Amino acid sequence: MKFVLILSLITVAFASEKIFYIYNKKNISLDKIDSNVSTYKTSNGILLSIDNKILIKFINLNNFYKYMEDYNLSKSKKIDSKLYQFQVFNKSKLFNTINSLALKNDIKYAEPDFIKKSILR
Amino acid sequence: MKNWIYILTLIIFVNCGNENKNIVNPLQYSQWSLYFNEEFYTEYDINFNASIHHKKDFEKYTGRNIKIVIIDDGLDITHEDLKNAISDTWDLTTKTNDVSYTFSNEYHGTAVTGIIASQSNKIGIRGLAPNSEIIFLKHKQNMSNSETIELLNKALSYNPDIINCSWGTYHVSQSVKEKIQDMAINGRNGKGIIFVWAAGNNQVDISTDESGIEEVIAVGATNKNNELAYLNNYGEGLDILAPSGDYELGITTLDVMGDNGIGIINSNYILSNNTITFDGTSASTPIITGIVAIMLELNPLLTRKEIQDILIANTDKIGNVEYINGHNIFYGFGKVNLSKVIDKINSI
Repeated sequence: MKFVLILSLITVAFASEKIFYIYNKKNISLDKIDSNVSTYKTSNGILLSIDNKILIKFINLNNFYKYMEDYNLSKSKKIDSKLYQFQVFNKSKLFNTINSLALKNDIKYAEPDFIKKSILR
Repeated sequence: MKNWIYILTLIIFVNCGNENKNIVNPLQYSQWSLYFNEEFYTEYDINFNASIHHKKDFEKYTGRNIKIVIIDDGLDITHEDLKNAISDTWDLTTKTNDVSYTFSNEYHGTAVTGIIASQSNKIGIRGLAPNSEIIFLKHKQNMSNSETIELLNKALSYNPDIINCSWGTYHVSQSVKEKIQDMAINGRNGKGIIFVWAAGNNQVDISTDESGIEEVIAVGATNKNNELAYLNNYGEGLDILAPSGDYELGITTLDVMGDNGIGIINSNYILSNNTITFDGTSASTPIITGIVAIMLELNPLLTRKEIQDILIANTDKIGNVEYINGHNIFYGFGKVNLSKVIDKINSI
């Protein structure tokens, strides 16, 4: 019994934080594996890192500044046509922010500006 | 006198058209994935059909006027077999044209570039498209989505015909996927840029990978036995196979000159029997890129979709497997056959 309890405590202590983001109208689940450097693992084992940057693809730019204010976003940088990079002040709210923005009618998608390893093949 | 000038002009003109016909590249005999060479095939017990069916006669096609962007980890632009092959370079990290390697043991980008662009010059090997215009872009080992898009926009600024990527992330983000699709559909003045992408060698499904994007040509690899190479990735998005070998026998290509890189037997070249071989889908992808360059030289008006359709409709269906509607998730639409592809384009 004691052993089971200890095992449960260890499991809980080391359990990874689950998080999700919306990709193409589907929820993509990620496991947080490193709390210090914000590294996540996909269901097929790919490591993704994030800092405090997100990408938003707008359908139109009518609410561009409104969203910046509402979601406390800063330092926009144009990446491509109607695609902008923003910084999120509170990194812990990054996924909540993009998931909320992704539901807006005038936003095509919002995603973390993931940093990924380019694997030579 | 006039007759002599006429004859001389005629000789020069004829020779210009056949500039590669009599050039012997000393390591060309070992390029088994391109050419059948009886002596070499016997020595290494290579399947008679293992090559792409390149022929001496096809060497008149050199990728002339075709612009290829290669995105990779670095390049030895001083390589003896790349003289005059590289028209421009750019590094994502430094934003300069210095694409030399970060670490001394790196070689990948030079090996990839050699398969496409090694010169026909009595040195080393012969690339599939030695007269194509090569632009080399150095990526970062860890790249954000926004940096990948910056790199793709840099590639787009050259208005390329083909982009070769012998790498991938296994998790393409929506922003990057859209950028690739946009370039593949609208680039090249509406005809579409041809992305040739390595499917990878980890025995995993490519559905979430860059190579799995429908508008991209996803390339798998075959070995000297004319079978699937070891650890090939698979999936609905896998398009085509090209021979590049595996642990048994790799292919001969360029290494970084001198002591750097991995060349053991020859320090400037990775020979097919080098201790560390260059093989797998990184090596098979530039073979398809070279073939696409030849296709576009033959008919520059071909769209990206037409290139894909011709390539996959003129393959060899290798392996004792069922191809459903021409496709098998492990074999794609089969193994590329240059001879059939050229015949097809010439017949259009």
